[in-house]
Amino acid sequence: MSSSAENPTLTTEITKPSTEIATETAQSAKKINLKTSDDQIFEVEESVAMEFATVKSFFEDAPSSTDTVPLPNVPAKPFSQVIEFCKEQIKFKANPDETEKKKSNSEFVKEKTNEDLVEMIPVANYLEIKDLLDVLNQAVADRIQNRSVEYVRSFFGIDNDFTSEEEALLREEHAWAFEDVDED
Amino acid sequence: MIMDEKDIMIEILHRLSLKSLLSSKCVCRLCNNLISDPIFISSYTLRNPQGPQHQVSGFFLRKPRSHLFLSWKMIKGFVHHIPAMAFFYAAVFDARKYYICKPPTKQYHQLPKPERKIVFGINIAYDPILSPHYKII
Repeated sequence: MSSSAENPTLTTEITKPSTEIATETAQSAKKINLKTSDDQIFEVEESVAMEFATVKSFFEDAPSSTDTVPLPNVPAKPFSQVIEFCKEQIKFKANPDETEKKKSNSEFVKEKTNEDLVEMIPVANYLEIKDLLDVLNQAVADRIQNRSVEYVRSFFGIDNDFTSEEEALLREEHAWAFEDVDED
Repeated sequence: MIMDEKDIMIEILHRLSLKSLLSSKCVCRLCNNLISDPIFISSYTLRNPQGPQHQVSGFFLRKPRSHLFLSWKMIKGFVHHIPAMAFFYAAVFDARKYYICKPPTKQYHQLPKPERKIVFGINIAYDPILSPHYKII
């Protein structure tokens, strides 16, 4: 009477894994819509969008959402340049080559105006793209290095909020630092 | 606006040479505050370890009635390399009197007499990892 008691669970286990693989490949070709603060919609490949830590965590928090992701702090102009950078960056992820990467990064920065750089920084910061932020911070530092105070102010669009006495005092304290600066 | 993001400004300032950093104090009040912050100074020193704290900043001479600090700047003709001397202090020993001086502003201050009779030397110790303050040992 006990010889016919077969274990019924043994045969059912094999089917599980194949579905997971299928969804993963489907995702890599997926496009994501991102809406900038000035209401432009960018259709970006998911692999590029996942470079933006802010967008990535948006999807991690709400995996099912397929609607457009709003980016309220991001204007279209710097955003398009940020996308350009991330597309390049992804190529190096698949095929890491530090010297080529550096070359590509410095070329990216070289063709940007001061205004471009200053506009891109808050975007890279908001989207939490660490590599880009590093590249931009260094580029800005290189451009204001050994420049006059007036040049640095206009670079960042800063108004001088010192009185002339205060400024004179500060200049006197480190007088040597104001000599031999590059011409504006 | 980039100036609203303090962390970014700090990140950029960290990458400047000491000379550019000091002239940037003049840019605006916020820059001055960021650069003068002791926490910034110590992290800048940590990130720029070849900085001027390893260099002699100049000579201190005592004249009969006054003290004179001769910085590299003043003797530029003799040396091509002008070390930066900014936040950094120098301890000076002269005829059993000890002074601490701040080269950039040429301020100096006589230290209290050491308790021991024999003094082999006096040095300024500064370890940015432990504390943003200088110690006289």
